[in-house]
Amino acid sequence: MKIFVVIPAYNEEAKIAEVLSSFEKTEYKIVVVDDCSADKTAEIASQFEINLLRHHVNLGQGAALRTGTDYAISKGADIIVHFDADNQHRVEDVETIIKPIISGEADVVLGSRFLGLKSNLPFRKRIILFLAKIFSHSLLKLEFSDPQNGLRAFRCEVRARINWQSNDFAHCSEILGLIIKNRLHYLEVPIRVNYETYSMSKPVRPKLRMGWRLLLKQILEI
Amino acid sequence: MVIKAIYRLYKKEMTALFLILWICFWLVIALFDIYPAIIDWLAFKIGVGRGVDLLIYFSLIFIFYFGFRLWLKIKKIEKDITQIVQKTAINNMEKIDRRNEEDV
Repeated sequence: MKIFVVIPAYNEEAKIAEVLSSFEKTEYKIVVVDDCSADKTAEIASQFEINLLRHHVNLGQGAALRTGTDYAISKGADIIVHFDADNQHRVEDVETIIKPIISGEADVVLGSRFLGLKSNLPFRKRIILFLAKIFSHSLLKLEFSDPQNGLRAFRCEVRARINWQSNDFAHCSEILGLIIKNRLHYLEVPIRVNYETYSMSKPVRPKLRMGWRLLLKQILEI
Repeated sequence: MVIKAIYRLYKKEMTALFLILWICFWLVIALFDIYPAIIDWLAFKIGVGRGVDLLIYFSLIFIFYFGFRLWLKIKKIEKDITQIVQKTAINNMEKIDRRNEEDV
């Protein structure tokens, strides 16, 4: 079974080497999509045995994931995993999220920080994610425990039905909406996330304007 | 303004239709300037009030319409740029893959 891990990266020179090193002993095929980083992310990534795609213009994480996913499918991927480039996700959790897909239990598996396993999630981030969850539940009608988690996996056969269009971080909620709309079999599994000083210094997501855009889209589709 | 527009047509920066519309627009403005009672009569017929109010309402409608058209155009351009950048990234990677296969 061909498992491709798609890692969208933007200005991650500090962590990309660590992330890619952790995959060295695995059998997964790694696809890094450099979203026009201003730093040495692409140069560092190119030193590893991975597939490196580069955007000439910064488009956003959603677009980078689409590029990597479509490339993986063109290379015959059976399962696609989305993985963050800032070392928040653990390689061990990739095995956890692909298991239900391999066993046929689910079409899509989503990682969740809120299903029992303890992460060193900072208080500020907890509040923001809690508010994002309320927004997703009440206004977008998405009943997921961790709607903003970037670790997910799906069978390539369902890619046509998970055809997200958002270029930015709003793709997280859009993908969840498409899973519900297309009645895909999904599962949430507990994962652990590493929070360090580095990841805390990054800009907060989700942003309010993305939420309003998703809400507007929801209203117009009724 | 009209001479500039004719020059733009000569330089092929503007179409003949747009030039005609542009000239008509300024002729109408000139007419309203010379005979302001026309706007007041129009406003009375429509039931709006003063001529100036009618001009403001029409201006707002035009602004919203063109703003919406601009927004649509920008969205389309963003979508096109996204597709071009993505296809370029994948094509470049496929060229590298083919080269690696030939080397092997």
